[in-house]
Amino acid sequence: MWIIRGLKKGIITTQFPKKDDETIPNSYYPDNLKNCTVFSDIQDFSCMGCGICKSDMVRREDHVEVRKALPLKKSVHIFVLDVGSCGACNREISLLGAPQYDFHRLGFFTTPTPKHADVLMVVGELTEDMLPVLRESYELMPEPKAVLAVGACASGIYLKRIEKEVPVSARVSGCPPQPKYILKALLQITGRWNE
Amino acid sequence: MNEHTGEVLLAAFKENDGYSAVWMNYDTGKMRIDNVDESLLDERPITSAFFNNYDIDIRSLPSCAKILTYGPAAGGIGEAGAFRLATCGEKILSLVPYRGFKKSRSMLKMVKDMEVSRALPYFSRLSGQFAASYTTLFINLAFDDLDESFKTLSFAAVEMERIHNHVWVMHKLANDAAQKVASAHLSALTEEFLRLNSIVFGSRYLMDYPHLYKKYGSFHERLKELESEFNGLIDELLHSRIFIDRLHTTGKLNSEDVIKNDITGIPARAAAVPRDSRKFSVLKDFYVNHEIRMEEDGDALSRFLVRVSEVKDSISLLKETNLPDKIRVPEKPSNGLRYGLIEAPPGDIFMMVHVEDGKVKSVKIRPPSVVMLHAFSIGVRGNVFTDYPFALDSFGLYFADADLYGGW
Repeated sequence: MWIIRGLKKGIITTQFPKKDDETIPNSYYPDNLKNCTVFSDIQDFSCMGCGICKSDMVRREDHVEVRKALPLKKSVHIFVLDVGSCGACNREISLLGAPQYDFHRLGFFTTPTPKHADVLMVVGELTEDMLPVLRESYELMPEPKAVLAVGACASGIYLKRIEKEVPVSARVSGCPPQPKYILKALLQITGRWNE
Repeated sequence: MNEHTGEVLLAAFKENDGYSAVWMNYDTGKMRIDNVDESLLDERPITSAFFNNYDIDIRSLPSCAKILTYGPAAGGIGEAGAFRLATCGEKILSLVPYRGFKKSRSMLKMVKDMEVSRALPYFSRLSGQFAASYTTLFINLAFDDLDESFKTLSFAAVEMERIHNHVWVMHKLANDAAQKVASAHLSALTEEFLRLNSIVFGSRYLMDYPHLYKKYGSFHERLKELESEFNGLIDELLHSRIFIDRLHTTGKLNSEDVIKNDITGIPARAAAVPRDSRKFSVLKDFYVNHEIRMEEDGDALSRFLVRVSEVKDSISLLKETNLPDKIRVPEKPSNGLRYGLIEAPPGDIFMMVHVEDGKVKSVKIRPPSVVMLHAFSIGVRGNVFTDYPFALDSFGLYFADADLYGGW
């Protein structure tokens, strides 16, 4: 019986953001970016945490940067647009709906159309074929609207390519970013984050 | 069971002077590459998948048929990919993949002339869901100095990848069947496996595991807990007639379809065609006693059941595996042209790597998702629209993976 199974399991949803949740392992990042052997001009948001540099790898939070907040008091609808990802960021966004994160409890919902979206979540490297789709998606969104670049491709390595087409309001690092920090970025962008 | 399935056309590539074809015999494990002429394209339907030259034949459709494009952004696929489909009301008369939206990812081309050790992070990110398989295959082809501890770690990473992908497919299928509670449990279980990956291999998707691995003493203990959770969920789900009825006879491929279309991996095994590359892969030493899990009916339910058996097998194998205390990351490049296979979660990956002076000169890849897309396009014909998500999700394919097909 599913009900009994659920009752036995109890609540598994994280207390985050009310309390930090240390049971969720953070991603690895190098303690010194200067040793990067992949990119000559590495920035925090471009780091994939691959570990081939000679730095010590340490677990830490993914970076979140909000350039322009979009304070919204009610439900927030998110249109997710993959513009050329490897697929990992897509799964992490899907997992925001898993019981451990349950982003609906915080008023976040995905929508299958940009016409109903407050936030455009962009993942991946922008390919030529997805460029018109990105432009059109952004244009179809009603005002006010925000763009959240998710993951090292969209938020760092290929950020400039995306910024040329749409204004990026916020970004989160990580390859892929942990669901917890995508959630943090959503809370910050909508003015719901209390340190 | 079909004991002899003949040679499978594993891949074909356009060359300067014609085509090269990669053939694989899954009974003997023998692989060969030869030059072929254009007639191959007519003889083997799978070449439409390899060369992405699908077309819907309008002449074969009834006059009421309409052709529409579904995707790439709001098609419910969840990725930058699309399908062209022909319908006359509710029935899907024909469907062909419309891929290439991710083809120009520059990451694919960046590895050319790169030192093999520097190229590793790129191979880890070719396909996020199958990162361990691509990483392992590349390392086995491009390096010479692999020791036993490293091979054991690779094997464990590939099996963990199989588990989290299979469980995620099960979550999606439960969601498609409106089994929301089961779906939530299975997504929670996926998350737990990903966290275990992160703790042990340093990455939720097993990217860069050779550089991030750290011995975790409670690995087997945690695995047993997750195994118990998995078994309980599957027992419960298989008691749901709604779930079973929605998958049964949906997206069906029989053994003749599989053989005619050179289908490999899960859809082949679900149609009782024993195509499994584990005994011939770069990790073959770990699968000496491997038993191929198969079903008979070739539908979405059969593919689900094959996945269930494979998760159980993977957990059993991992429980018997002692993860190394430390590993030595291979450093010595193996110059020359090498090719091989690995069994990723939906099916096998073929990769050919040419290394010269320690640098990557060329790469050719046949990803499993390109075969899964072709299998889906056949299996979904004649189904109605409401069957579409069950059929699609039962193949466990990704456009990001399929768009890797080719050489650079």
